[in-house]
Amino acid sequence: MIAWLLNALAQGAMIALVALGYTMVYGVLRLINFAHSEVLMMSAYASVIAQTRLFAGFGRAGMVLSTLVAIVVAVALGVTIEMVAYRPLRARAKGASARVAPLVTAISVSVLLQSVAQLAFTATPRNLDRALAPPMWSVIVIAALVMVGLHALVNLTWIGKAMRAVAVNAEAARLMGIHPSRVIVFTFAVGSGLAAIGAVLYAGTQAPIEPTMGTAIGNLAFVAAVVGGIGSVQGAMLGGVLIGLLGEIVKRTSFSGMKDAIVFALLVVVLLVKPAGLLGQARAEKV
Amino acid sequence: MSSARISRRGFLGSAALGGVALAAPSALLGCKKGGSDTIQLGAILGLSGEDASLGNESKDGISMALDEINAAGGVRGKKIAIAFEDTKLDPQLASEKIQKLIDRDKCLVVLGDAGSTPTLSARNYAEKAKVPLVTPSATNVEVTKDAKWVFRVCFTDATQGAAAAKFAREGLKADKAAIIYATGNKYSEGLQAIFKREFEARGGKVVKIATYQMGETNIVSFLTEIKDADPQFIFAPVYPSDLSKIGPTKQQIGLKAPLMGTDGWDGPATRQKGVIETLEGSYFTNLFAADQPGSKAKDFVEAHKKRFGGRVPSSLTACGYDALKLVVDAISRAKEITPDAIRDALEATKGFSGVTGTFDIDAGHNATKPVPVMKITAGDFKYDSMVTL
Repeated sequence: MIAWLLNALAQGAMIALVALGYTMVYGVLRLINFAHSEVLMMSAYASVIAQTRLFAGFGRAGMVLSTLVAIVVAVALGVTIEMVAYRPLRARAKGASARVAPLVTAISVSVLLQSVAQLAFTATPRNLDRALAPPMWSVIVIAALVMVGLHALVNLTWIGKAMRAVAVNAEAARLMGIHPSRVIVFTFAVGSGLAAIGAVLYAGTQAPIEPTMGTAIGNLAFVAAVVGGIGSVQGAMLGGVLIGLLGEIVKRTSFSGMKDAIVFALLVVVLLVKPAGLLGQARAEKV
Repeated sequence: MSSARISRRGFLGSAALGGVALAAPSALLGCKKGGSDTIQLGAILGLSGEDASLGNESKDGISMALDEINAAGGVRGKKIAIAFEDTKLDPQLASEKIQKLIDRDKCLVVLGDAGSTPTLSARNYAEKAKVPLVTPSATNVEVTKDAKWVFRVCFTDATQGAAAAKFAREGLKADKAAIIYATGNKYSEGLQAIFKREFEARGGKVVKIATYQMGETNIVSFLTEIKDADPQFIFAPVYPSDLSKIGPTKQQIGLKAPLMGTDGWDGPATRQKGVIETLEGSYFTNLFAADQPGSKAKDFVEAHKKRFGGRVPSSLTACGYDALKLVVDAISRAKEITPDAIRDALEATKGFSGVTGTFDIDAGHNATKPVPVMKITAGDFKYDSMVTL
């Protein structure tokens, strides 16, 4: 029973780590960053390549170093996507296209990165050494520490305050002397870094690394962010843990083959009751 | 799943394919112009996506056979051309792509797919358009059931599942078995049902059936439940992408009973470092055993090694090879070069000598042959025994 609960919480914590990236970017930009799942996938590749090529004989320490490499790659990639694909659109797109164009770009970047991974790494899955994987309990501890750190970052630091300010009103924030562009880049960096941690925990404890892996966990994480209340950091954490727990509960029943259908039906009910998500705020749109 | 996301991706995907289709005719025209001295065939295979290895291995086999046939002057004085289309093993794409091959490229025969789910979907159009569809490795019983235009060069899951059950009872003397399989996957679902029926008919007991959803990544809870049921043997008719989750997790939780899989296991995903070690001592039924004593496949294995840097061919490669060889054999025997006549010739196949064995095509359009069992030993697939039902 305890093992089961640990597994369920670990699953939820991993989903939550990835969900944070979706929710933070949405918070500052009102953009669903569909490329986020591909940042996760690329960082997983970075970790396995670093682990096998650079730190093969280093044991657990090598795993930690590889995770750092993965974080660096994810941050670089996330920031590059923002600067190359999204920022030019924000400056130029007007009216209705201002919302839709970045969304389409996000999907395109996602497809592009998946194809690039397929070409560069082939479709054959790669595996992180399970012997070096963190034990279940530590997955939860790592995720919890990261989330506490993020909470502190958002609520207690200057840059966190700036992020919240840009989220409320980017124009007003600019008038107060905040550079929205810098804040946005920082948001992408943090979200991508968290995805990298999620990616390593995921690859290290349950599934191999392949070009389509981002979709598997990315979809769950995206839904977690929406159910928790997109834009809300605590909501993403709650949504992730909820999806993880619900999934593991369904797996214990004889309906395990329909896990997603059942979990998502429950989530639809949640959204019907609370359309803004569990912790989301239904704000009136500013005109 | 976020449906908005999937449909948008689907839209983009087809938009991109549209672009490819626009660009493609110039490439295809080349072979169509010489229509009179070329026989145009098509192949639908899952060449990208999670289980891309399945389609790509089949393609390797088909390409090897193609080059051999054309180097030897083709068939009836004509060269063979094959248009490959990627299905990602997705049923919807499979049905789109077979339409393209038949309507746009006027293919006389279509080969594929590597897996059962997309082949079942492509089957409808082959039957409707009256063009033979020859699958190298789709083993699900339904694929050729009551079909007039669908053939396969492999045995069915009914044969394979029964062989696995016989091997478990007689070869391994197992009384208690567990099953782990994926829903949403006809191959996996079909095999588990056949195995359960046959294993129980032979006096064994299935103590636990763990059902997970295809694409599930967290396998821990399922294997823990199996461990608690304490079986002597675990039947796992799954695709290799799932195996790379099941193997390491099984080792991690200390589940000792041997796994037995099916032909889907034979591929590079299973041989991956970090996976193959965790499967040591497992068995699987296969479509082809490269190291089987007395096998006629030696030349094929050598040619494959030469072409692909020392790699031993997988069963899917061997089946892809046999599929095209069988089709060309049928073309050489056909009264005329039309889908109709080729179909009749395929149906009349007797004693075709392929690299996967010598076989007939039976009344149900399936190849009749015994089932080799492989054992994973020292990080490699080794021929263990032959099960004849």
